[in-house]
Amino acid sequence: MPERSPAGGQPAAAPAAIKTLPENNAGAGQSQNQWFFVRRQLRQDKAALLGGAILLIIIALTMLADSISPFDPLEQSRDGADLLVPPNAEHWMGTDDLRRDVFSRVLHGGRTTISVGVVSISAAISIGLALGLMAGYFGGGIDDVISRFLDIMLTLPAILMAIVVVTILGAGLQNAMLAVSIASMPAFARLVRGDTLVEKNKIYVESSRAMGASHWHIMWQHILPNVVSSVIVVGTLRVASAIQIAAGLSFLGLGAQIPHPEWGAMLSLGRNYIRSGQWWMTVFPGLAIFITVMCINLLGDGLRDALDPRLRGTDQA
Amino acid sequence: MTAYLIRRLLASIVILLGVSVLIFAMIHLVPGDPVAIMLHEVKSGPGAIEEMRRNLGLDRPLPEQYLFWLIGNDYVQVDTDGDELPDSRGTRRGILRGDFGRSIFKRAQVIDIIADRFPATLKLTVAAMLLALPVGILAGIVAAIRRETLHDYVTMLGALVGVSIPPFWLGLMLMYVFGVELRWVRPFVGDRGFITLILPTITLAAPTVAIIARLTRSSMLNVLGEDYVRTARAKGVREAWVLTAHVLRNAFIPVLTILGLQFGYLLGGAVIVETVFVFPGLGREVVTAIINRDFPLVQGVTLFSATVFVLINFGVDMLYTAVDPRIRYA
Amino acid sequence: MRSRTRFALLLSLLLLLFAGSVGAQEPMSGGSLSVVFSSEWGVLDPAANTNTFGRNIMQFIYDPLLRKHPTTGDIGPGLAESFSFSDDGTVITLNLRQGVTFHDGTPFNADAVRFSFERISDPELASPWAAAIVGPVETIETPDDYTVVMTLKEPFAPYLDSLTQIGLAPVSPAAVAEHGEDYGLNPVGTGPFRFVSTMPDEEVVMARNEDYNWAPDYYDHQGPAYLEELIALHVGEDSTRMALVETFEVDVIYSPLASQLPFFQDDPDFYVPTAARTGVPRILVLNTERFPFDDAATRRAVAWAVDRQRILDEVFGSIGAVPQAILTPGLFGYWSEGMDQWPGYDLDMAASLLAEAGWGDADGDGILDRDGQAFSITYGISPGFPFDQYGQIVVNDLTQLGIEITVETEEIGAYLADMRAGKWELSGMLFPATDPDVFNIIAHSSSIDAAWNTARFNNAEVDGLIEEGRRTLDLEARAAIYHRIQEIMLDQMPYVPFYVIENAFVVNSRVQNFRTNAQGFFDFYDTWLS
Repeated sequence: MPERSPAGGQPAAAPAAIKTLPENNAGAGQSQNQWFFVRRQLRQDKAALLGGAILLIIIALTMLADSISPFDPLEQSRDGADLLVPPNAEHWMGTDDLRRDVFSRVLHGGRTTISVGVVSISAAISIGLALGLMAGYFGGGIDDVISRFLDIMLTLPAILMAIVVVTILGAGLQNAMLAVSIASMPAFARLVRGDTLVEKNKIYVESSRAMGASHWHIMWQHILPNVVSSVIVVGTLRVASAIQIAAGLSFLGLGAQIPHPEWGAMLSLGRNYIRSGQWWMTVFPGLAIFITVMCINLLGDGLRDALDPRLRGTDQA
Repeated sequence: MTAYLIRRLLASIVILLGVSVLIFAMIHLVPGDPVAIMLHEVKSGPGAIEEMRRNLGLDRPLPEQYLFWLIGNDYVQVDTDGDELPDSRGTRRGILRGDFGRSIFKRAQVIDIIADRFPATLKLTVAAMLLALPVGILAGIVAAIRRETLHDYVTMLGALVGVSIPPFWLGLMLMYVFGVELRWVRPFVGDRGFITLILPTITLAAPTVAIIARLTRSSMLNVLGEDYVRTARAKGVREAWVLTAHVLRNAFIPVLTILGLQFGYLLGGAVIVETVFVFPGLGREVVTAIINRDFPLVQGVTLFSATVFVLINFGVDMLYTAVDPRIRYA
Repeated sequence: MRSRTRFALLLSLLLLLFAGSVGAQEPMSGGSLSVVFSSEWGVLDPAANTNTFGRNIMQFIYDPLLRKHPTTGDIGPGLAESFSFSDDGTVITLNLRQGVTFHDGTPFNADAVRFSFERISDPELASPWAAAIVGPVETIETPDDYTVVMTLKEPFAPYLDSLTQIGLAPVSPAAVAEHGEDYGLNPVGTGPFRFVSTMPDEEVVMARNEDYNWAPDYYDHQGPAYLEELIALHVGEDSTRMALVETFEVDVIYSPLASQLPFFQDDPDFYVPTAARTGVPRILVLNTERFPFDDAATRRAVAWAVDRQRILDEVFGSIGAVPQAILTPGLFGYWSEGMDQWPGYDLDMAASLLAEAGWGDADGDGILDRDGQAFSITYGISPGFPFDQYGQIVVNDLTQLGIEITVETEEIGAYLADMRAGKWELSGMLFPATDPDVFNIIAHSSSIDAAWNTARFNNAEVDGLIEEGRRTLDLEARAAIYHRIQEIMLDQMPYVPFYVIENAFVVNSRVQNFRTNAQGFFDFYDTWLS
């Protein structure tokens, strides 16, 4: 399955549970230094830069799909001769089983696929952040309730959760996004909870509390900035998993809404045409997924190296 | 330690109860029911659907259905002929007393279906883990030791490929290349001995290899930078000893953390791999059951896999104490 | 395109003849044949299972009471050697074949038949056949060991057809007593193959019934089957199924990928036979209760806009036919006179009919409207082949007319329920059947919500005709009734048929005498391996 472990078996997520205190996260003002450092660090990371650059190009291409794609992605040619045509000067990536231009569909499909990844993970992060912060900060009964709830969610493999959600709500873009966010949310909540537990006992938080700051103020002003870095790292990496879950749903026949193109659905349909020689139906959307996921991963790795203070240490060693 | 065990056990029971409610609620929220699916292809005139639904007890209120599923209905009178009057005792003993009920479509005991199917999934999952662990850890170690060399780049690129290829695609490609074209792996479907385990195991293990390799590499690098390693090196301890005694042992901890979770992933991942390679496991079974609205089967299988997941992570937690001296359960 | 289908048929026929003339003329006994289905089949208890593939597998293990001729569709003797209807049409007398035993050695007799019937009506079993098959029966009597007399509540013409269904096939009472609720995992029938073992929904292994001492007269031979072993497998993934037959791992596959068929047709190692499925073709369902399809003129117009030939050629690989009635050719009561009046594909015609029906684009937004209401519909589909493919062609065709379509995809369970509840203006279904009484389920007003009258078609004349058709035993008079129904359906157009289903199979050329039965199911009784 495309998705990684339900609990964020992400490289950065897992150690969080047993993470020892980062040494230099001493105060609120520190986050600006950190971002400066991140930028510098990222600039030196050629792989991450390359990944980011290609990703930007891909996003730009898909966002401009309406103006640059040579054909309407939904238009089925009236001419029967346009059925399953191999790549040529007119159709750069050939045509599909319904006489449509594959290149135009790949361009438009990216919009769907990438937004499934980005939107669903953003939603998962928002809810996960809120739950994790509350659980970690307030502790006690609230923590118990939230943690048990997360445990329950985590026991169901993400793909199963996604299947059930899509079965309940019907297939389609929005429901697939919702399914992916519900399936990814517990990982973020757990991560944030762990980080919050560490942060809330720091001296600056305690002194702030002693000075009469509200819970809201402390969570928003002090804790959030310090837990957000690991969330960003895990988030970038999970966007890739989200795209994979969506592709898996398409494979199981529960994916995006026809006739609108989506890479996972195109790849999945194209598999039926590999043996009969129409490789272009599946190779191009497959490459698109592959390159995008790879770039997101490169960028995520770069961010992790830049944000994670411990790894930063190893660079200097 | 005992207190901790008891606390964990109690929490596990709460989790499993919660899962059962969640599954039950979700699967019954789904529009459509098994009867409509079963009857759409035969000549079933008006009345047939209602009659069968009543015979299956699907016309009862949801809380009642849940309760009967959980604790059975052999202690109450239920209505079997549709006249709204209780007429005979129920026959179900409930899941708490080991009665998982019968599948609506297969008519077999859900527990038998699980017993039939779980071994295949377990075999596949364990095989994938046995492949992924050594390969992933080795690749990660090599990449970490030879950081920023060709070794490192190739390994990490491989890891990226591993997480970027959708498993159904990888599986089909392996099948076409090694099963159909080269004909090295024959037979290539089903669960018929070691040979049929090869391709699905590789497919299932690929993303896990990638994750473990990356994790091992980063935690190795992490540990390599720790003070005690520097100290050991400064003291002139042999490099091989440093690596095995200090680095590996500590680098393994995060790998262990995700191990349990990764098992969960593999159980889920089996859904697709089993479909491609016609592997008679539980993953494929549960997807069909969801689509068919085979309520008892979905509930039984998901509850079972949740139990397995909870047990594995329980075991992993116990392993922690053995590996990481810092963790003590007071 | 039609000619291409014919050519393929001819080719496979020639191949068959060729194989027959070169190889041994005499059928050879022995060998193991493996057949792959494309989805799960459920339990092997005739009373409990209605699944298409389940019924196909059970055809090997069980014998129905009456048999349907595979090509003519005539109902003839099966386990019942002869049968008769009383003049008033309420009493059916079956004279059972003697000397038949179940696979467990117990004798087949009238008690077994009655037992099997009564079992279906047991609420504990929750049999899906209960209402349809046992419902019309008032009493069953067994005057002697080999006579069964069924009294119906009222004359019921389709009942003979019901008796050809595998759902009513006699089961061994001894085996049911022994295995109880697990009977379906240990099925015991009288058929040419006996059950050996199963991994439910994955594999069924069957062995030749050496004691099989008869066969319906339309077969080439009598006595035991030629095949020694028969293995049924389930492979859901299309690509995997194709790979299996390509590499000779299996002999016969169901539902091949249309994209790969030409290769198999050209390869001497294989042949690609087809079998038509009778009943109602694949149809588009127009919800007659809701705007805009609450108007027959609009429904008729839309029927001209669907490119059926393209669907046949590009989705189904030219296997099958373009329908020219609401029933498939070959089904009893098929109305051939209506063929010429059936709408073809003509967008101009559709547009002008729509204009006649009052549709225009008054507000100039490119979407048709009438009295200020836009021609905007929701189309419900279920994902996967072939819904995705033909669905997109339908959307494309209707969009060209200026109809605004929103597609809603739901997986099959939700889809069926929502279609039945009339959620969408447009949806699609198919309804294989062997008797025209199928109209009772798809067109009678009492089947709205309760069964599969998904167009929610409510027409008093059709209701009356359907009821009359069920009571009419005279074949000619009965056929006339169904002709009239089809005429009304053509005029009212609640359903737009667009594809006559013909199943294709890929078969290894070592398989001789590949046959299908009246339902289009595999029939391996006469089959042998060279």
